[in-house]
Amino acid sequence: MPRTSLGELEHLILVAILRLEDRAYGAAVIAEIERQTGRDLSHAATYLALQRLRAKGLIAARAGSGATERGGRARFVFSVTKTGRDRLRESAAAIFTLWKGLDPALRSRGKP
Amino acid sequence: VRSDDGPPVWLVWIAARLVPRLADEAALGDLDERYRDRAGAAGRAAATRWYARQLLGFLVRLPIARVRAAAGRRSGFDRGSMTPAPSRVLLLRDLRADLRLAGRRLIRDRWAATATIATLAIGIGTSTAVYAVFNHTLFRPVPGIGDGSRLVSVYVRPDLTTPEYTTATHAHLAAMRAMPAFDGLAAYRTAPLPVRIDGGNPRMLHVTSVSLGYFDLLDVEPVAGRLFTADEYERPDTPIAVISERLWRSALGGDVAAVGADIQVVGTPVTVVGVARSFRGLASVSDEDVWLPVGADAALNLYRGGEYRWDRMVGRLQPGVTLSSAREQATAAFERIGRVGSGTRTFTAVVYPGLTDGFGLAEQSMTELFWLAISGSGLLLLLACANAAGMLLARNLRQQRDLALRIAIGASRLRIVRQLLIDTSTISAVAAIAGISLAAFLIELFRSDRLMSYMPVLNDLTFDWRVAVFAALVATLTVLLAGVLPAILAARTAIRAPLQASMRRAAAGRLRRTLTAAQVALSLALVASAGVLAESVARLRSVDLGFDPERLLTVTLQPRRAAAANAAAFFGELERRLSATPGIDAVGVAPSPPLGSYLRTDVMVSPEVPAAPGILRYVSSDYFRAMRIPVVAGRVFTAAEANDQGTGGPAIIDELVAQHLFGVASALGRSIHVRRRDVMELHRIVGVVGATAWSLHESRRPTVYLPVADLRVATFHVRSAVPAAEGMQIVGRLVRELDPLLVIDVQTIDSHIDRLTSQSRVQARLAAMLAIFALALAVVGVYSAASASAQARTREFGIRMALGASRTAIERDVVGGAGRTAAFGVAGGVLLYAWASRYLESALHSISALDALTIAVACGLLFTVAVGAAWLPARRAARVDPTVTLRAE
Repeated sequence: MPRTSLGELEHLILVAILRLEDRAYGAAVIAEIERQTGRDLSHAATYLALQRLRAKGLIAARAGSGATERGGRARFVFSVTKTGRDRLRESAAAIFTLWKGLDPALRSRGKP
Repeated sequence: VRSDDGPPVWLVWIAARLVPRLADEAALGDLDERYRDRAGAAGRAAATRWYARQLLGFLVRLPIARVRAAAGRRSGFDRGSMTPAPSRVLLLRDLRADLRLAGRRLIRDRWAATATIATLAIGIGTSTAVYAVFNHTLFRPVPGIGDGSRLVSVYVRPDLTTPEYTTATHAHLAAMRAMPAFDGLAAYRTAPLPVRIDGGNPRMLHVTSVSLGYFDLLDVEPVAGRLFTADEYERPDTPIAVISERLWRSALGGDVAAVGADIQVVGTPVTVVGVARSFRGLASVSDEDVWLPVGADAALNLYRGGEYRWDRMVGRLQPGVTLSSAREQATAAFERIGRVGSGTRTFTAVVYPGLTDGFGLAEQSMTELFWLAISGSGLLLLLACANAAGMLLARNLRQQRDLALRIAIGASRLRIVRQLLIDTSTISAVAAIAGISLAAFLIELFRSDRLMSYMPVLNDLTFDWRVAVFAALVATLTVLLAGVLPAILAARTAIRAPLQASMRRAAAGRLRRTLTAAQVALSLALVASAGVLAESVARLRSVDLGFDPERLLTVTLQPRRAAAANAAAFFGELERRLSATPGIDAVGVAPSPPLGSYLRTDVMVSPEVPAAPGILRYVSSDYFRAMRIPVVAGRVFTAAEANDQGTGGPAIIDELVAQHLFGVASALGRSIHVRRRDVMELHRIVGVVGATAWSLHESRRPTVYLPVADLRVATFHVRSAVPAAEGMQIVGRLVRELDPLLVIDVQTIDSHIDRLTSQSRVQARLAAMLAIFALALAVVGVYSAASASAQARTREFGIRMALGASRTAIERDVVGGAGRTAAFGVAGGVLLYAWASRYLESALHSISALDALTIAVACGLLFTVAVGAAWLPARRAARVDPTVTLRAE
């Protein structure tokens, strides 16, 4: 089956959804990624990526409850599908494989 | 429910409209929630900034999401299917990629892009604004006219070869009326006359006398009352008037009761029978407010003596009649008049389509101004296009390597051209929008009276469809010139083998240098034009008048017809009262204000000696004191000599006459012959005074002064001891005490000179505006050319610096290159200006268009500015670390 590779943002989103388990709605996912990577995410870009992931069938979404701290608006809670887990695993494996044996090189060069 | 610590309401409002287009309702909730988190952590201000940034992110990504959604729906390509998508979809996908690429390059190259956009916007904006003025004057639909079809303007010309127009007589009108070509024909004549409404102070309004059928021909409708009936137009002694809606609303409050009431025109009561709906007359320069049937002229005693002359005729052609056949018929009819009437004279009819003759032939000066503006802005547009084309070419060449790579991996020729086209036309499109906005702003500026206060017609200047079409045409042309050409050039370069690329690049560099030189040349021409125009105005303002303009007031008075018999008594009384008023130093009386019209004469010592042409002026004895014209020898007129104009009476001459007729010998007591009303009279010289200027534009002329007598119109020259504004009030009050019905127009000499020079000043200001824009374009052009060339030679500089060249040497190299280009440009500019200056000559006074100093200053300015503009890129080039440069390759 031909497939396009996972983008970096897509990768991060999948991991974040897995970490958050059943609390993985939009704001929480973005906040989690920002906390872990220390960078500022654009909401718009993240939603586009989420839509892309849904279209590829890598994540699923179900309606969650609203809350007053978000203006009473609905939440969509995301979960990673079986295909999504497989693809994430492949992607991570590819990266780990590539990383193997690089640790000493990275240490000796100091800051890249 | 929204609690108080949410994002600002207006941002939420925007978000509610923007976010769901890209994501869903939940996304709004997410934004809201994270706003609160951030507000708690970093404060509300920071959170609000963050929120706004997020919204911007949505806005920017909206088009991407749209295109993606559309493409996804159509082909399913993005779902990973391997079946080849239909070519239409591929095309769309490519287009999408090109657009995205163009967008990215725009953001990456934003400074260069901004410079290009600003350049094009200035060109499009100024030429559109100038065209709007042109359009307004040329094509402005005359307000208040019901049916403008088949209307023509008719002028009478003495013969075919004379460019001047004469005015039509009753005979011309009658001859034209008999012609079958016309469905209707009417004539009119306009003059500024004092009109008094509702017992207020009289003021000058444009009053038009109209012939039979005027309003019917133009299909004007009354908004109140009625217009003239057929039998009222030419019936003698019918003191009735139609007034404009504007006057009716402003002076009479739009009161229907005003119809049937009287207004006073030149002191004579005239009954208002109606108000013309939004009609403002046919004059292209000033609005008319009162229309009288021509029969009323006699009742008002308006035009006495001589043949009655109309300003212009307007007619409606019969359907199917051409302009040339109308012209032939009219000329044939005029030939008959010529034979019957004044013997040898023949007349030619000039028939123009429409109601305006362009600029109003009476306003010859306007034409000059408009040509200056049109050619100036045309040059500017050309300059902007050249500039932008150069910048876009450089921009396209910068990505040469990228293009070569793409060709190497199989991109088609078409694809490359298209990508470059999309890239350049994105910029041009943004520039077109910016340019049209600039035009709208400039039009607003013209209209707001700040720039062209003496052209009341510009008050209702608008951005109509013609201007819009013109702007669109200019913008398209600009895109073609500045966008498409560089794209094709760059694509051709890229498509050739990379080996040839450097050769091509050298060719493009030459083209670039030529374009830059052309810009400098055009700017120089505009700057030099602005310079001589400004210098001309300055010289006009600083002409040595020969009298002291400080606190000198003039008031010209024409007693009403009823009081005309007592004019002399009236003027005498006013002079006495003015002289006796504290705050007024001296009062001199003459028939007209200084620097205005004058009488020509010839002066000679004896009938055998050749006469000296000169000027004759009648003045009261205090005139010289009021004007502060120095008395060089002898004395001024005494009170006893007033009115003594006869042969043997006293005369005062100025130094020029004295020098011309008597040389160094004393002129006092000598006799001179003065031509007056075609008769030579002998006068005795009692005094010699300093010479004065009679016009701002001409050199001084010999002048002879005789005592003033029997004036019907008089100008009082008042030397005020108090500031001019106070003096003007004093004079106004005194005149009104004597006759409350007179129109009073008190002026300072300065304001009089302002009025005389207003056209020159507008020309100078307009030229200065264009020159500033042109200079800005030249700076941008030289700057971007220098930085492009510096960038292209980065490797060379790196090697040279690695081999020991100093930074100064590199800087000198870049600046020197720009300097050479600028020098070529300056030289070309001088030639261009020398050629174009002949069209400037007529607008200049007491300075030649080829004024060496002005041209030298313009050259120096352009050269300095050009070298200055190249200095920044030069410094940047010299600052680069050679190791970095070399490794970058």
